[in-house]
Parts: sequence; C-alpha cells; structure tokens
Amino acid sequence: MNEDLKLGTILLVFCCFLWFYAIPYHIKGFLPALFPRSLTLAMLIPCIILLLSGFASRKSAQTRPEQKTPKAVKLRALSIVPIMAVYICFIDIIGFYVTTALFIFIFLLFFGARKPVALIIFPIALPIVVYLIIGKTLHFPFPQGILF
Amino acid sequence: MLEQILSGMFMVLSPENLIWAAAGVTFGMILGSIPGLTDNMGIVLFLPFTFYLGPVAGIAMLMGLTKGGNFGGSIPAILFNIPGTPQAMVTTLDGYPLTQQGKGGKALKQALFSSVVADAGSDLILIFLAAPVAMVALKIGPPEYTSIIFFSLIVISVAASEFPVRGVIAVILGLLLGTVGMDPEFGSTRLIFNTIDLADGFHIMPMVIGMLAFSEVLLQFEKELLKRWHKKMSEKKPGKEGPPEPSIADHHLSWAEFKKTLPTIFRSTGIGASIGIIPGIGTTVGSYLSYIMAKQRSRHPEKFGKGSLEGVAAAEAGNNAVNGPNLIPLVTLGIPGNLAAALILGGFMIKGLIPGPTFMQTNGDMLYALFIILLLSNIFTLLIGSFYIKHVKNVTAIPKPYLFTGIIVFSVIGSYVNYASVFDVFVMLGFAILGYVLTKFKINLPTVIVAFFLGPMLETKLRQALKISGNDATVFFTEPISLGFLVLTAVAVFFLVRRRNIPKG
Repeated sequence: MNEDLKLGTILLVFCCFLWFYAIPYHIKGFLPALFPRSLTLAMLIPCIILLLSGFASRKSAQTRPEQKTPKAVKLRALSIVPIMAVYICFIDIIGFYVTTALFIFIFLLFFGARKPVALIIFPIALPIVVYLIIGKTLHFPFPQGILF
Repeated sequence: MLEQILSGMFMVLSPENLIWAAAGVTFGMILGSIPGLTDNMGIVLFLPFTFYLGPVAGIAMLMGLTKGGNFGGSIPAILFNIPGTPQAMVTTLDGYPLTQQGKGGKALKQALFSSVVADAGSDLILIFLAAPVAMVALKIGPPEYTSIIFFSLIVISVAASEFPVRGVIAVILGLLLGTVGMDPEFGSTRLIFNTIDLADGFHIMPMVIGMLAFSEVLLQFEKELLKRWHKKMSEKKPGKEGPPEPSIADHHLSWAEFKKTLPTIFRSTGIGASIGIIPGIGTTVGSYLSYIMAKQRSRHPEKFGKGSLEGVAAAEAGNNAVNGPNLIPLVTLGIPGNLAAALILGGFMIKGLIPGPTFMQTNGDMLYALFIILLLSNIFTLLIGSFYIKHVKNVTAIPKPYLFTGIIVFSVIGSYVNYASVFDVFVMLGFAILGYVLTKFKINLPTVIVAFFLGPMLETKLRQALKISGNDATVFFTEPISLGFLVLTAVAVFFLVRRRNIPKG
C-alpha cells in the first residue's frame, strides 16, 4: 500500500469515527456539533483526493522499490514511548528526583551512551540542576512522590 | 502615543528584563545551532517557564528566544550543510561551500550581520505599520474577521506544506483539535470522552512540546539508529562519529566585504518584509525570492552556489526580514502569521494578554514595550552572536544521547509545571506520537499548531457573523473587505501553486 492510500484510509476511518461515534455521542446539541461536523466533511475532500491518487499511482509504486526505514529501527525508536509512559507514571508516585535520575540512566543507555563516568554523573547532576533552577529559583511545582 | 512609548520604555529598561532577553537570545542561539534541532525548539522548551516571570520579562525572554533561534538556525546550515528549517536550505547554498573553502567563520559573520540588519529593519516596519493597521482592524466586524482567518489558513496550508493536499489536512486536523473542550458559546463540553482534564481543551504547552520537541527526539533518534543500521549493513570500517569537522578558520569579514553586500541586504529586507505582512507565506518564500533576486542583480551571478557572501546575505536577510511584519496580524488582529507568532501568542495567553484590535488601546504600553524589546534583542543577538561564533564548535559537538535525554527531561517538566498535572505530561507524550506519525506522512506540524490556535477564533467569528446576518451566508460576499480577502485567497492560492512548478535557483 503506498503512502497516499495509507493516509487516505486512516483519514477515512478517522472521519467515520468522528461522524458516527465521537460527534453524536460526545457532543450534545446541534449547534455545538455543527463546526466539528463541517470539519469532518471538509476532511473527506483531501481524503478522497489521496485515495484516488493512491489508487492511480499504485501500479507505478509497485514497480519502483521504495527506500523505507526498516521496521526494527522504527520499533526501537518508538520503544522510548512505553519507557516514557512508565517514567511518567512513576514520577508522581515515587517523586521527581529519584525517578528522573533512574530514567536518565536508562535513556542514556538506550540512546547509546557508554562512558561510565558520564553515565553516573549526568543522571545525578541533571535532575539537581533542573530542580534548583526550575523548582527553587523559579518556584514551579514539582511532582511530589513518596521519595524526593 | 508618546506617553505609551515612554511608559513601554520604562517597563523594559530594568536589569531583570534585559537579563531575561539576553538569556533568551543565548538559549535560542544554542538550541538553534545544534544540528538536527529546529529553531523553534528553544521557544517551545522555555515557553512554560516564562509563566513565572513578569509579563515584560516573559515576553522579553520569548522575543530573545525567537531572535537567537533565527540566527542559531543558520549555523548548522553553514557549518554542516544541515538545514534545520526550510528557509535555512537557501543559506546552505552558499554558506556550506564557504565552510568547505575554510571560510566558515566569515560566512557565519555575514549571516549574523545580515540577520541583525534585516531583523532590525523589519522590526521598524512593524512599529510603523502596527498603529495604522490596528486603526483599520478596529472597524473590522465578524464577517471580515472570518474571511481574514480563512485567508490565513488557506495560505498557510498551501505555502507551508510541500504538498497542498497535506497542508489542507494539517489545517483541518488543527481546527478539529481546537474543538476539544468547552464550546465557546454554549459552554457544553465537546469530544472530551468523559475525561474531566480535557474540559478546558488541550493545554497549549503539552501540545506544542509534544509535537515539536519530543516528536523531534523520536525522529532524530530514529535517524541515528538508521545511520548505525546502514553502517552495519554496508560492513564498512566504522569512521569517526558525528558530522564532518567544519572549517571556520577564516573568521575575518572586512568592512569592504560587508559593504558590498549592503544593497543586497536592504533589497532582501524589503522583499522579506513585504512577504511577512501576509500571514502564512513566511520565511521560506522570503529567503528564496531574495536569493533569486540577488542572483539576478549581482555582478557575479556565477559565484552563487559556490560560496558567495551575497548569497548568504540575501538568504539570511530575506528570511529574517519576514519576522517583524509577521507579527502585524498577531498584534493587530490576534491572528498568528506563523509558528513563531503562534508560540508568542501562547506566551501572551499565559500572561492573560489577548492580542487583537483593541490591544493597542488597552495595552498600548505593553505593545510598545514589546517593540522596544524586539529592537534591543537585535543588539543582544549581535553581541552574543559575535562571541558565540567563536565557540560554536564546542556546543554543536554535544553527544546526541545527552542532548536527547536533556530534551526529554525538559519536555516532561515543561508540560507539568503550568497546571501541576501529570495528565498533561501524558498529553505531551500523545502529541509526540501524533507528531511522529504526521511527520512520516509529510504533514506539516507548525500548520497544525497554527490552525489549532486559530480554530476557536474562527468558530466564534463565524457564528457571530451568521448571527448578525440572520444566518445568511452571503454576508461573506456582500461585505467588501470580506469579499476582498476571499478574492485574495483565490489569487494567493493560484500564485502559490504556480510557484511550485517554477524550478528553483
């Protein structure tokens, strides 16, 4: 499936989701729903254009091998997302400093840092600097957990 | 008016405000100069922290970030041939060949001086035009407003994206995201899926940080992995990590050399400023047109593309001159003309200031304070930039793992601090994934964000216009100014689409 077809299909599903579920069940009243409904209809125009151009260029795309990012690379890059989700969950339970220091260490390893001294100093120093500047100097609230 | 100017001057000229403006320039320049990072990342990452600062100090820092980032963005273009932004692509044409010739320092100085002169010129244009435009804006009603917003959105969708269809998708998506939360008229909630935290809609900070900063980490990390993967696949001996060593040995830019480029700088300032007034067309067109014009007018057009100082001057002056006039729609109508203006609008909103037609009357001193900050920031850019050029190699050599980790920590804290909400940090992560996916489909993220900002205003003005006219949609065609903008929309789209078919350079 080429890129136009993929995007067109995703948008079509998104429009159907909005039109048949999100707008009728999560917006009360005709007038509040009018603008989102109009936008959903407007989204159908580029969606149809993409689907048509996707179908038209399907043949030529099949003959031309595309340079794509390998799936393993994409997955490895996106695996930051679940690690981040765990980090965000813990930050409110355990506290900013301990969680951040631990996850900085994990992120550094994940991104490919290998210098032992830096791997120890950076996770300890960065949260302290952030806390001192943003928490103590600028007086912003920080996530409070059971630890610091 | 004089009273407002003086009052604005007193507001700005305190050590605290000047320090924050200089800090903004420094941070913007550093972040803008790191290869692979965009010049807007500085504004995005520091925007939440301006909340603590006073209104003038906060705006001073924002303006400093914008100015510093603008110049910083040209550094990787010149030294590494990596255009962080589309407009920097034009700077690479002559900047990088100069670096290859060992004249990187000279190119950087030319870029700095051209940026500062053009930026200061464009700020003066903003200052002189803001008051008359605001007078006209006071007479504008909802139908005209609707047409102007429509004009801005359509032009942004066509001009800012490589593919117009995807530009339209970006605009509609941004508008749809803007409908989440409270209905502007009826007060009922929309599309919040029973999540109370979304009752106010998506907060600005987590959205922009997720889309522009965190998604960039995902994309840059993927690029790094891809590089490693290709190296592994090609079974070559591993070479030295990172970009090639830039040569900036020749630092000296003589007055005679700079003087020769002054006509190009002034011409490009004129071109960029004229384009900047129109919302959405932006810096890319400004730098391209300036470059083409400079090449046509040059006595040595054959040197363009091979390391011409005139080429660097035209590109940098052309894109920086757009910035001042681009704020005219923001300060007079409340309509952001580009992403930087949208982020500045976000900064104003954090401070409880809503720019618009009456802004000059109600907050005139604040507006003139902003103008003075803009001019002062140019001086800071010149001073800090002159120093920074000599040390830029140390900053651009920061290893990516530490850089990415730092951005992640700042993204988390930046999303959290304004509302002390962990939910906002999750929203940031959600928008990061959305930003990643949209970038993969070549959908322009700044367009989504500008449309998100304009969405509620468009809906409100559209409803008001229809209410006033008794639900008669022809009101948009019968009011002369409104009709004028609709015609202008069609003309702009025609020319912008045609421009794509003209070979560049």
